[in-house]
Amino acid sequence: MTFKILHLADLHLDHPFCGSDYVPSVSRARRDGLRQCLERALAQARTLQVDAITIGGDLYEAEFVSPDTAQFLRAMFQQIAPTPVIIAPGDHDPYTSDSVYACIEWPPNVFIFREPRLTSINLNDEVQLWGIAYDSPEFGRVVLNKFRVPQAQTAVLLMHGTENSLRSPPYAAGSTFSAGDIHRADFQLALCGHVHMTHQIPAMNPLVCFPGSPEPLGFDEDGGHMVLLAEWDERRWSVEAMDLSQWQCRTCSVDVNAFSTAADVVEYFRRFLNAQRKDKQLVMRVILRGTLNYDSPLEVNELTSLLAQESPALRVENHLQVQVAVEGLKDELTMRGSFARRLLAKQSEWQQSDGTAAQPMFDRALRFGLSALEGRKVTL
Amino acid sequence: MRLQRLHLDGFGRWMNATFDFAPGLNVFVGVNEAGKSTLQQSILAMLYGFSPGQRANDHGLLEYYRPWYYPGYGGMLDYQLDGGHAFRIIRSFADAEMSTSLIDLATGADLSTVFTGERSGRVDIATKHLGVPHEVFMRTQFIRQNDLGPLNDAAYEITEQIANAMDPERRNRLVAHAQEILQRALAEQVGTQRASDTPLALVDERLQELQVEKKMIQLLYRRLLDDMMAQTEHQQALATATHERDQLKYALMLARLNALAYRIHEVEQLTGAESSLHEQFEALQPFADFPLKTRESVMRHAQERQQHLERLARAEGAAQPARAQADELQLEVAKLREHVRALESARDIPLAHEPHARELERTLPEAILSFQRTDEQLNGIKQAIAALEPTRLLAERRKEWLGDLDQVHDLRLQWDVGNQQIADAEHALAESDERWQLMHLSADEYAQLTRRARDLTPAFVDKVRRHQATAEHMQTSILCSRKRRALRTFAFAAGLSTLLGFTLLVGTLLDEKTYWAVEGTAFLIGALPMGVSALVLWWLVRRERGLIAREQAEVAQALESLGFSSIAELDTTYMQYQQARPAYENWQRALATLEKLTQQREAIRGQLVTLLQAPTPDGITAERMKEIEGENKRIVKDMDELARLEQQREQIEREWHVLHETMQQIVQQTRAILKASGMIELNLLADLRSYLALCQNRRELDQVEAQLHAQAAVLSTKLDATLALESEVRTERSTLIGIDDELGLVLQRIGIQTDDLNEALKDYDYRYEQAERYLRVKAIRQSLERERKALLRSQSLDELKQQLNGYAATLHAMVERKPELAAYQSDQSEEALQSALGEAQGRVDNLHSNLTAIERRLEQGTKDYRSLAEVQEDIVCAQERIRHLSIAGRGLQIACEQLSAAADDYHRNFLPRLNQMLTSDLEASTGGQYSHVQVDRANFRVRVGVPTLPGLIATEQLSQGVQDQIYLLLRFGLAELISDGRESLPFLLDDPFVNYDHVRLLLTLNLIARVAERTQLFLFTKDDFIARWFGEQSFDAARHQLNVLT
Repeated sequence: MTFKILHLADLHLDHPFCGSDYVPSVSRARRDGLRQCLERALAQARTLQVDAITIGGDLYEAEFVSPDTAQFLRAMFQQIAPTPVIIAPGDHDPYTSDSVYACIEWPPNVFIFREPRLTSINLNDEVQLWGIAYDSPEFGRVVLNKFRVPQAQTAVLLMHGTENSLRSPPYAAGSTFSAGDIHRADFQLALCGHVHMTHQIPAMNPLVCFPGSPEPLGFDEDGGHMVLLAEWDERRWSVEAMDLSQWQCRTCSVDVNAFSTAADVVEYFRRFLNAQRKDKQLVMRVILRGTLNYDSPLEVNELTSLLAQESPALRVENHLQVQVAVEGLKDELTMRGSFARRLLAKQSEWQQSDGTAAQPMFDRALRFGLSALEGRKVTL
Repeated sequence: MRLQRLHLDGFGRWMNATFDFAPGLNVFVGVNEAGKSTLQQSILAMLYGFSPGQRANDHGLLEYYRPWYYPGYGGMLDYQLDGGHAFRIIRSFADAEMSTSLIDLATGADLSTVFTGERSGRVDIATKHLGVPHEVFMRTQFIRQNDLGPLNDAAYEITEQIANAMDPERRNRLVAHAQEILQRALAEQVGTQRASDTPLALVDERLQELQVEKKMIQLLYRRLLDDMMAQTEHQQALATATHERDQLKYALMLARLNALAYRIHEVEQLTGAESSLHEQFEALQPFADFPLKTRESVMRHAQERQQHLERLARAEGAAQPARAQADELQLEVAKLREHVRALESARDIPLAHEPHARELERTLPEAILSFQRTDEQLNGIKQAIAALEPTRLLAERRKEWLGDLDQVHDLRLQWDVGNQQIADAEHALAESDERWQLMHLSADEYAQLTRRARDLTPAFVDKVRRHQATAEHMQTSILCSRKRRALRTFAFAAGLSTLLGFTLLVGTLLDEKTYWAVEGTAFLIGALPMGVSALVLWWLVRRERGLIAREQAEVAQALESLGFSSIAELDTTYMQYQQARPAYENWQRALATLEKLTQQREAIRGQLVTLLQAPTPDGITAERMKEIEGENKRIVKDMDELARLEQQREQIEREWHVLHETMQQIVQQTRAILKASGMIELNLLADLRSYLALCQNRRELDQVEAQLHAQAAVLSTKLDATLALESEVRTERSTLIGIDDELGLVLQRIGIQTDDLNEALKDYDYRYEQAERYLRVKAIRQSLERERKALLRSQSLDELKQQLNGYAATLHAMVERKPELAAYQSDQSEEALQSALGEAQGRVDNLHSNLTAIERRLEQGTKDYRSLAEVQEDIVCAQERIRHLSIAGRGLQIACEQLSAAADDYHRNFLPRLNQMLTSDLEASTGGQYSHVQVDRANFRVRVGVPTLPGLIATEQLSQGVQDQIYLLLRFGLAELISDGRESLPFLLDDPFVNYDHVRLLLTLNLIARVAERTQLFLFTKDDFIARWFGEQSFDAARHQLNVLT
């Protein structure tokens, strides 16, 4: 008897696109896009006539989830009934007494793992699904240590965590495990979440599968964003990745020293835009790099507005290094030299008192002071 | 500054003269007495005026330049500041007031009153506009003939002038402008969180609004989730309540069915016996129509009404306080929410630093207070030391004699002796003068006499007299001697004999008488010895006469050599000289003695005046001496006090440093806390207290939020209970109205007025009693009939049976719908069941009502609010903006502060720049002969590097021409430093190049031309070489000009 599972994870509904991911003009559309992505995934499940839908955590952002989203989820899952929807809460949507999972009366076809330990449900006579729920965002317990599946059924693991080979700063938190742990525990397949880019370990006949977030959530997630179709053919599991995303995040790094005018930069950016896929909505980030003299005529604000005319969903990050020849300046018998010497003398003092903010403060103070001494308007 | 035009009404030789100046080099060439120095001085006087009261030299100058033949004394000077603002100074030095006016040429306004309102020549316009005082200007910009030289006496003033860049009147314009730009950028682009309309404040305000919005949305989300949970619970409760209600309804229906079946059975039994009881029925006929069947209905309705009235009263009694409590709780929750919003700003304040901050709050003011107290104490001691400074200086002056007043006594005695001696000398002078006056000689006559008689020694006079006497004696002897007589006799005799002889011979010849020839020859022969004797005598006399002549020649030569015409004159002169000389010499000696004594006394006076600071030695009385002694004691005492204060100052300075270090540490710790708390430092203590207040607010916020959650839960419960009670009240009222309507209808049917239902019921009871009496009278038949009618209740038997069938059909339908009801049995009465059913229905209605409210709230949902994620994005964005603005603002503040410090450094450490400038200029103006210059900051002594010598040498070792060059360049350099970043100062040079050779002069003129490119320069000279040099240069006539003064 075959059995089909549609697996997705890390949808992060109601995710705020803050910091370096903030592109104000499209944030709301991207959040709506996350809901639409879930609708597409459930529609795909209906089309494929899957036997179960699994969600490997981080379905929503507990800190920002709205009751509308809760009702939306309830309605969506109700529509897919009687296909079971099994959820293993993750670090962003832990199962707590005041969580949406606990507060909502979910349709009968929805099953949520509630225990911070491995528990199981039988999807049918043959397939048994084991899962674990995070009970707090800081959950980091090792759950697979010495664990063995007690019955000789086809056991599938559903959990939110990181495979050891994928541990990196964004995914360092949470429960960790290795593909060996999965194998030793006699799981035939691990459907996981937490890593926002598609990974299958090993690549052929995978044992551990991360679908990635169905839609990209940040500019640093340059990889696959899929949902997975896992199919049991009575002998083994086969996993197929499907791209349902409608958004793409791209970063264009521009070294302004390589261009002579702002128009050249804009032209370069235009070519970069033309090379992107047209079937998906594009969110762009332009990183301006290079080194400028403190009195350089390049107007970053003007360049930013020119680039914004090319793409409305654009974020421009100014990583330009403002160069001031302090070493040469400090030997001058001028007011500039005196000012530079003063600042240099104070620099170490600020580093002790202000820490990491000292250097930008020093750079700004030097740039502002020299500009003011030259009678030029100071712009922040 | 640029001088534009000078008009002199009168100044020295200049009268009604006007000069237009070029902005660069202005050369004035003229011969001596052409008025060059006067013109130079007039410019200075127009700028700074004369201050006879303050500068001793000015009084002389004021009078020196006062025109002789012209009443006007003064003029006006137009000048323009570097900023473009033009002014005119009008000064008059003619009278003592020396009136001064300052006119703003742009507006024509008289600004004289702005300058302290003093309208004398001492109005310090130039000091304010040029930024340098008169003394510094005189030593750097104003150079007169032979005036170049060391500046050691003005070194301190010039150094201070250069160094005090932050003095408001001498502020470095470049730095001030830069600081203004930074301050403007800080105010416009950053601002402070306390201001209301600056970017930082706006972002901060926006952030606070966003955080409040976030909190509100979180509360809303929580409430909606609670509603969703409640909806589930209510739905479950509604199902349970509905089931219970249906059970009660079934039981009630079953009970009614049983009762109706019993009634039908009883009616059928009574109907047979009733027909025999007709007579009794007739007796109470008036009440026959009384509808007894209404009794039960009326009573039931009345009872139900009473029950509902009681329930209504109970429900209303419970609902009103519950509503009041709920309202009160809502107000309290609203207040708590308001309180939470008010405390929202403290949410992100970290509490970890609070104990430390509280400690710092206690220690910081103490440290500042201790430091300020110590600082004030130190300043007080410094002021006390400064106050004792004159005493110290006096003590230093007096230190050589401070311990030995004998010297003063000696000087005083010498002064008195000197006075006595002077009196004696004056007396002697008067006597000698009197004797001298008797000589009746003027000084010239005596000088002439002295010149003639100075070589007349007594020996010489004796000698002359002796020669004269000898000559006279010999003359006398010659005239009176026998030789002379013999000579005359012999000569006469010889002559006579000769005459006679010749006469006789002639006569003989003429008469040819021979006798006379013998006589004649005899006479001639006789005349011969007499002639020889006469000749011998003549020779003797002649010899004597030669001796006399020699003597006389000797005398004459002596007299001639001394300018005397005669011995008598010599004698007279000699005698007169001999008489006058002692008198004159006595007179002169007396005069010299008097002068010497006077000088000695003046020396003593000087010593005494210097030592004792007495205006005149006459003032040095015994009292003065005591006073001085007292002063000395006071000085010693003050010196002891000074030593004590110095010691105390050292001790307090050590404490000051310790306290300063402590305060700095505390300030650093405080800043670290403020920074960690994300607070912008404005006022350290106030910020720290703000932080503590925010910590307090944060704790209070947590408490209030907990309280708010608790109160919200209580409110929710209370509201639910209140709504239930109010629902019950409404149900009771509704039921009561229905009962009243039914009862009223029944009573109206009976014919009872129902305006007042209670009265109507009383009326009904009365009638009913009558009817009962009627029934009792009618006995059994009536009883039977009543029982039957009561059982029938205005219904026919068929109707009862029909109703029974209806009940049975309803029960059947209920069991069909819910089969489990068939198993339900109840022992309760119909009334009890009815009551329970009402209660169950109330619960169902209540749950429906609650569910409706929840569904309404859920339907409304978050439509009126933005999503929390969107708000969070704005919050992070605002936080990033605040961080960016904070760093930028701090950068602007640091730049502004460090610019001040840098300007201070720049102006205080001017020596390297001065050395560099001097080296460069000297190298240029000496053709590279001297290439290194070093200036001593303390006294502006210059040392110069000579290529052939290993070290630097003092300028005094160089030629006067090079010295002049160096000191001219030093003034140029100092002037540039003084005007660096401030008002440029014009140079006024009056022929400073007299010691220059042409090569040096040419190089120096080229240097001056370069200086004049940036600064206005006036060169007054009589040297045609400079005029020719000017003509050879292709100067721009609009910038440089040559003026020839005639």
